[in-house]
Amino acid sequence: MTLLRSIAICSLTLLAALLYWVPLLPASALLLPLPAETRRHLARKLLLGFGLFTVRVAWRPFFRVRYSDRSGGAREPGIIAVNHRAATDAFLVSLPHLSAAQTVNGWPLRLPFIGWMAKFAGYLDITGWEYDKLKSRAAAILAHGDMILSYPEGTRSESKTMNPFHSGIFQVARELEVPVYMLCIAGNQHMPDRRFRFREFRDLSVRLLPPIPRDAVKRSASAYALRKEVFRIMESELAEMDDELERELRRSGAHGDAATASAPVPEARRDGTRKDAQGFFPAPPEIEESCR
Amino acid sequence: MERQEIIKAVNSIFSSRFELEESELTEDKNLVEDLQLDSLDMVDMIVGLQQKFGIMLRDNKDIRNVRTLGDVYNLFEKLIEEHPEIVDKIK
Repeated sequence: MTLLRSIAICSLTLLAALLYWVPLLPASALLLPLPAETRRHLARKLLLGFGLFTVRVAWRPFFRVRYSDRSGGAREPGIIAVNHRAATDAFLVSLPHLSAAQTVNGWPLRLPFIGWMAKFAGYLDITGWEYDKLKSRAAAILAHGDMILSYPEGTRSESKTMNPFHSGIFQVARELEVPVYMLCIAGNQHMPDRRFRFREFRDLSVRLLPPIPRDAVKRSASAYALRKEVFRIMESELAEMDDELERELRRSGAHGDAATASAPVPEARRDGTRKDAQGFFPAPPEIEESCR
Repeated sequence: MERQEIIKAVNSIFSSRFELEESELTEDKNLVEDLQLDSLDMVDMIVGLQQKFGIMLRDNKDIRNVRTLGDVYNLFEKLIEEHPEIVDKIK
């Protein structure tokens, strides 16, 4: 079953890539004479469109993705911290419709085609570059009105528990004095696993949280302190989102697989408390959007 | 300078820079595994300690071998023994 699921979704993802890029690729050659930052911005838009097309068209037959925006419409250029459970995150981050350059470990930049497009779009090599180069490239992207999208865990967790965060991107946020957004993705811890096997299909939830405003970022004691605060908020929100998904799963009569059931439970869930951003930053009205 | 005073001075850096609770700051705590400091945080820590103790640590060989908070205390105990004038510079 796992094999069939994996073949089906990978085939449709590949088909979506062909349907999207084959007509667009010749057109994207028109970007070449444009100024570098404009070209990168438009390439980011193309990659964003590919993510949306994949989630909304190719994956539609397999699972539902619910997106909710609790940012109150805040769109000041800043850093978006995203939790990272699985490879599907790279597509799901397109749901807030934000034009953003992603930070990536060196290897995705070396992939054929998608890696070339990522370079073309000015994605940031967070492990291969010196800090000063990273910061200056990030500043150029933000000055152009785009966001920086980063996975501070550094690698996929494949579980409901986040890996510890790295400080680098939070140092960039502090030094450039920009807000920090938080995008939480829940439900896809086994979609797929590291061997690209879809061990289950289940509904997913994606939520954009109220940002930490630039003043608060500026006032934070250090990148470490900022990162700790972001981790705390996201951990709490993800615990709630996972609970909601589990409740929905139970209501619908389906059951998560054994691996899901035995996944470690975050501290915030164990003690039953919710130490989230709502007290810190008032919750704006929520905008919900379902992809099926 | 008593070891207890050194501990207090070092801990003040960890509290102010990293917003860590006093109760978390014990000698056996590994900076990476327990306190989850990464390389960038280490630089931040060194800058904070330099400012607090008024000495340069950039070229200090022992700082590279620091693994636990106890190692940081030991390093400053040694530094103060070798350079007693540091005591007057502590802010």
